[in-house]
Amino acid sequence: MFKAWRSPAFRVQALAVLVAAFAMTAMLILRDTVDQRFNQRTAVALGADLILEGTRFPEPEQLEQLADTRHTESVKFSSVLVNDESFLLASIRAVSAGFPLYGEIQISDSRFAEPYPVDHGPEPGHVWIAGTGLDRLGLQTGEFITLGERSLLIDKVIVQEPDQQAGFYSMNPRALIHLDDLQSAGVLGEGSRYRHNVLVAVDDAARQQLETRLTPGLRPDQELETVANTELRSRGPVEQLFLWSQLAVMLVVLLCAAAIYLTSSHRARHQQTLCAVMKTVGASQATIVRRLLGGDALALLIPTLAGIALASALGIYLIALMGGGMAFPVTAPVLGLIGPVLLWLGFAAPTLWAHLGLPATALLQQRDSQPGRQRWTLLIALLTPIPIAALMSGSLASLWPLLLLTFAIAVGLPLLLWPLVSLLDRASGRMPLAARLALRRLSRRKATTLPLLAALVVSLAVLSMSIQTGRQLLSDWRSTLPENAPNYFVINLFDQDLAPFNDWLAQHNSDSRPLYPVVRARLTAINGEPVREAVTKEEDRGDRALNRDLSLTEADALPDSNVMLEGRWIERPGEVTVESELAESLGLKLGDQLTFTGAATPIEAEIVGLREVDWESFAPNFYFMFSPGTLDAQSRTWITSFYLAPEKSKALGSLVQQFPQISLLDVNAILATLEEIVAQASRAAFFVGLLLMLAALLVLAAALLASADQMRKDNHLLVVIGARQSLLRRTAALQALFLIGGAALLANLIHVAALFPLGQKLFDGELPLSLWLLLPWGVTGLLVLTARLAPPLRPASR
Amino acid sequence: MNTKSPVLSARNLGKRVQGPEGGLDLLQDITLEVNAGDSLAITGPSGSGKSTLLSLLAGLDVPTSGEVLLGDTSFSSGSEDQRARLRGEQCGFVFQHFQLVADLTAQENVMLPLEILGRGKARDTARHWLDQVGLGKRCHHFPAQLSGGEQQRVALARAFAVAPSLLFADEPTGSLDYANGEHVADLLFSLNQEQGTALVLVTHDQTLARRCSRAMSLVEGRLGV
Repeated sequence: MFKAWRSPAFRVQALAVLVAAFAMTAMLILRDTVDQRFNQRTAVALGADLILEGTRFPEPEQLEQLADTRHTESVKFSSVLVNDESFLLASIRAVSAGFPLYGEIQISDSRFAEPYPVDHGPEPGHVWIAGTGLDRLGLQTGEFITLGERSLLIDKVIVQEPDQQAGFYSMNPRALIHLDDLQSAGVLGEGSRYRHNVLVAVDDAARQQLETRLTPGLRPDQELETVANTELRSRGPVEQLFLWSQLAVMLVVLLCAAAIYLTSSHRARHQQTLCAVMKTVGASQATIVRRLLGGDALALLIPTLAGIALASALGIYLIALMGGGMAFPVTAPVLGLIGPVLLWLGFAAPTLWAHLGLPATALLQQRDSQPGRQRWTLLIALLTPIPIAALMSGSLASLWPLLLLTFAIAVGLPLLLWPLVSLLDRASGRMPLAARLALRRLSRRKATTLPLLAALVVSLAVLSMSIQTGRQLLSDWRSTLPENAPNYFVINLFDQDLAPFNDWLAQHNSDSRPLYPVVRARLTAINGEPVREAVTKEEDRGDRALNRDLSLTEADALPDSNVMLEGRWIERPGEVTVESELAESLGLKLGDQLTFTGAATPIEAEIVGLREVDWESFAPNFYFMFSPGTLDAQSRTWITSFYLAPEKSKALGSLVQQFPQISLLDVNAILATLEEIVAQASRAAFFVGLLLMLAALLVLAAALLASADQMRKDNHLLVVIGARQSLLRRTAALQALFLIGGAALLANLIHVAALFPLGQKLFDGELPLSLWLLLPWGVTGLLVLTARLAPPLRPASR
Repeated sequence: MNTKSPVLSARNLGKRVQGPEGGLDLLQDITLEVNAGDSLAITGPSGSGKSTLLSLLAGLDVPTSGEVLLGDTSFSSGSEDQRARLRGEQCGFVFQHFQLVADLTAQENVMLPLEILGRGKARDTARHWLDQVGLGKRCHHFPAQLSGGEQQRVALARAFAVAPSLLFADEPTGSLDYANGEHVADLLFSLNQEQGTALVLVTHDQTLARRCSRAMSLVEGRLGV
């Protein structure tokens, strides 16, 4: 068992097994943990089996249909809580008795007291507020606060709501009140923005019946959310996350498999004489298998267990970091043990067996294994990724996409590189000797070079891209914004607020953008036909536009951030211009008649122009802009953006105080959150890139070991016929340069190609190039220098 | 005694190595001379020191006593690079196992020593010598695409391409069947005569040894004629 460790080939193989065991176990732990977290959250995230959602209260007949079910109501809106001189813009939720239907609300009796769960909301006259809200107000539980015209006792501190969801509503501190207090507070009026939900708890059959009954009577602003469609929709991103992480792990594992295969062949060749002698002196097959195969298998237990232990330690650390009382998935390390066993059975054992199963004379003559056995070895190696992928995906549905993607990258990328290497092979005939020798050593061993090159390209590209996106891209982009780019958005201003709001801006020297009226309505017909029938090509953007209330506006001038692409700007009432990409996805063209249904009368307009919109302009932008007067009959609010110097941000308190119903969005806070998310994703990608790089270097080491004997012979011959040491060193350095430099160049191309759309969208068509593009060249320089300084491979002296 | 000046001379050559049981003399007191156009066969049983002697004569190893002269220049002192340069300029080699670079074509293998020496028209010279050994149409084949006999002919072309004054051949027919062996031996001796190259041939094959103008036998590290 310990003898095996003396062989360099075995040590490389052991490292490959360790990396593979680590990657597979970590993936299994991740899958199980995210599954646990997802199941936990799906059960309570929706807070119901069916939700009737709308931007207004439901119709009485709709409520009648739900009368026999266990249900509760909630209304979400933003408003201001007032205490003497203190004001707090809060995301408020008014709930009726019976809330929550599922899950629990975590509350505490005072700030920083031990939280505990309850299965009901506040009593009438009471309010529960998030701790951050209390901090901002400087209040404690037991004190009073006013919402609109209603005074409420601060009863508890909210720690966690069961169906708390992200979005702008959640950016303000949260507050929970009883639904009965909503009317008396008088904060919601015509045109107020709020969402009303009826949450219903029913079994599957009843839910389907309810869906059927409720659907025909839904208003344009209403929709039904059910556990079925929520799970389907929210599973999407999770499945995508799994697929890409599993693909990365599959690539790492396949690279380790390649290293295991190469080192096994090398090891088998070096054990041929021992095997031949054993056969000659009468050792049975069982003895040979036990001695040569069993010894290796047993010795590999150490790196396997080490890899699993490392992944488990990482898993335990991450689970502790995430919190939420999740259990460590004990099955993952056990399943993780299967991976290395499969790898060894698929890539090492057949190779060893094919070589060592030869007759003694063939072994002594160092003959290659028989073609029949070679074919079996290849077939087994090709089939082994299937059970490994099945182990990681855990379901048949996600197995095939994973296998297809793995195949596309593991086979497709090397195939794409094949013509390039062949071209260089042909061109090398005219190159100087050292370059030709270096290039030929690569091009004449395509089976090793192409996968190795592909692995290096992918790992270098992932590394450089993850660092740039994680560390630099967003800050670069922020630095391209004009100094006084708007940093606050204000929504929900009423008509009567406009004059005092402009005064406030002038008073604080704020640089504001134009004010736009906003009317909420849904696109319901195109040229008189209902949209569902009129639109056949529903792309993502189009789909989103059809399934929700849109913010419509009117303006007398084309905004600075818009460019007319087709047609003309609106001139008369009854005309509309449409954002060009949305128009394309909905199949809209000039002259089409659009019908929107809002709270008031339907809005009819003819498309007279298509606009290109700069969505990164930090100004309010709209898909549909109508001519002034078209939206007069609708109830409307106003939106604008403005710049306020950071040192004046305290003045925002007076703004909120003066206009308590507004929602204020802090762009910098949103960007900071976005930066943190991107940084976390980039850290994960960087880690994957490092694993890929490590696996690629293992393949490189294995390939060097496998070709070392031939290189020793070649180098010896070169010296015999007059070559100096410098030629050998130059050749080795050039070989490293062609392989790793080639990979660095291709990684740069992929990196720049990935930056191109970002440059188009965020950097005015300029590529956001970064010094991190040089990272692959740093790796190249290091490895070329190592090759240049290392003593050339020579036969052992007698 | 030949009156021509020697291309290669060895004086009191000895090689001693340290083994587990103390010092071991592989070669002792070897003195020989090879003149231009001469062909010298060195024969002897396995373990007699033939390969060691060839290594010392070709400057691939250094003796522990005595010296080797290539013309008037010492071939047993100087750095490895200096000896490699001298070897490349004046010596050609043919080995039992052909020793072609598997990654280079036949033509590139023949060009190899010319390129190492930095000689011009390497491609034309290589083509000329491949024509000479009857492989003009197989210039762009890789060694794996050639038979054993063809590979050895490429090795012959490579050996003669630098116009060496001295050719070392180590069992040049040892890996070939009889017909191919005969063909390669005929080619070796005819080219040797045409080019006036001195030939040092190490072989077990007495028939081949008899084709040389002189033969020496090596027994337990000592020469006998």
